[in-house]
Amino acid sequence: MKTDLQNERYLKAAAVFSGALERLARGYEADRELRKDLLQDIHLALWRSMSSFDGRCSERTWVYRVAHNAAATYIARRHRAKLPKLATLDDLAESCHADSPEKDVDEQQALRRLTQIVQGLDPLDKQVMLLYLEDLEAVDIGEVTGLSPGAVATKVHRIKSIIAKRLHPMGVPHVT
Amino acid sequence: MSPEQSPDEAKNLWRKQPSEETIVTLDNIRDRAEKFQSGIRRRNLREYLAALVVAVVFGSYIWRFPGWMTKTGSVLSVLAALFVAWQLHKRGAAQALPENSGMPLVAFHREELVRQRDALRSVGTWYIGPFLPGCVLLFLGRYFQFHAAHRTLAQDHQVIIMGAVVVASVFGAVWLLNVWAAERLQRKIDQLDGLR
Repeated sequence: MKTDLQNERYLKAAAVFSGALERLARGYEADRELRKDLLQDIHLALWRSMSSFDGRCSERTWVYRVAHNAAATYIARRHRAKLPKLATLDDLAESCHADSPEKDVDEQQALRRLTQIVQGLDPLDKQVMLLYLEDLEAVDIGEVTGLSPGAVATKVHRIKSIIAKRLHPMGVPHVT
Repeated sequence: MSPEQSPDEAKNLWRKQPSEETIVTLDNIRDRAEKFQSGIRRRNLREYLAALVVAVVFGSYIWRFPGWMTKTGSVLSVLAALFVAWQLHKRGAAQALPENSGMPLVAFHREELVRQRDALRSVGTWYIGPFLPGCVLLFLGRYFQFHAAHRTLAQDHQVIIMGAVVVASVFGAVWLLNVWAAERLQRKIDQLDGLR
């Protein structure tokens, strides 16, 4: 009975958030095959967590927390001995140059650039940026991450600055 | 398009990206859980085998070397190897599959850093310390209770003292490196606390 409820909760959450979880995995792992592994770990963590979810927060908050924590654990395990060099939002916001002098006319190119920016961030800043890109409000980002409102505001400000510098005036194409 | 519109455009761009069509079913999840558990079993087996090798090597000294100090030192070293293997197993189990994955991200990350910091800070107690009594008795036993036949007594004592200094230096270096690593983790923990 308990497993049925757990399965039911998981299947419902997985259906609602499947796209968001895929995009989250993309933000953590550049390699496509390893990304599949990561996504399975995330789903496993989500399924396991449904036995202890007691409505203390919204389902969305819970799903994002579980998914990000699972992804961070996976990455820490994979890079146990050799962590890649990662940037912070402060590093990227302070670097003034744009990545390429040509105009980004291609939506795919802009997305690739955005993905590279996200993948190159250190874990906590990556988490905030991914939540921001999923269109969570600052208060929700705070609830998922546990950051203070001031810390969230600072990081969101940095994110906007980075997007403006690195994707514009490169020209994020008008998305129809 | 104005700079103010860029963030919204970036969000749309991010959320519109095509799916990679990775399908995950309950069967996949069960398989994944089993794969995870078997990975943990293999890791545990490697740790047990390593402890067994150490126990067998030190255990052989009980018969090979004369003198009660060397024999006692060997017994203590075998016990130390088994204790350290048990500690590695216990500490490894804690990080296998986190139970509290619904925690806020900063708290989850902090908890992991604290766990690692505490393990590093206490390495003197659970990793190096257990081997010290056995090591000391082994060296004392070699020094006082039996000597290498192909060396003079003075040469043998010199070799034993140099060996003791090398072993002490290695233990000391391992302890120091772990203490420094723990301090680096503490700084990360302090940074996280400043964000909450």
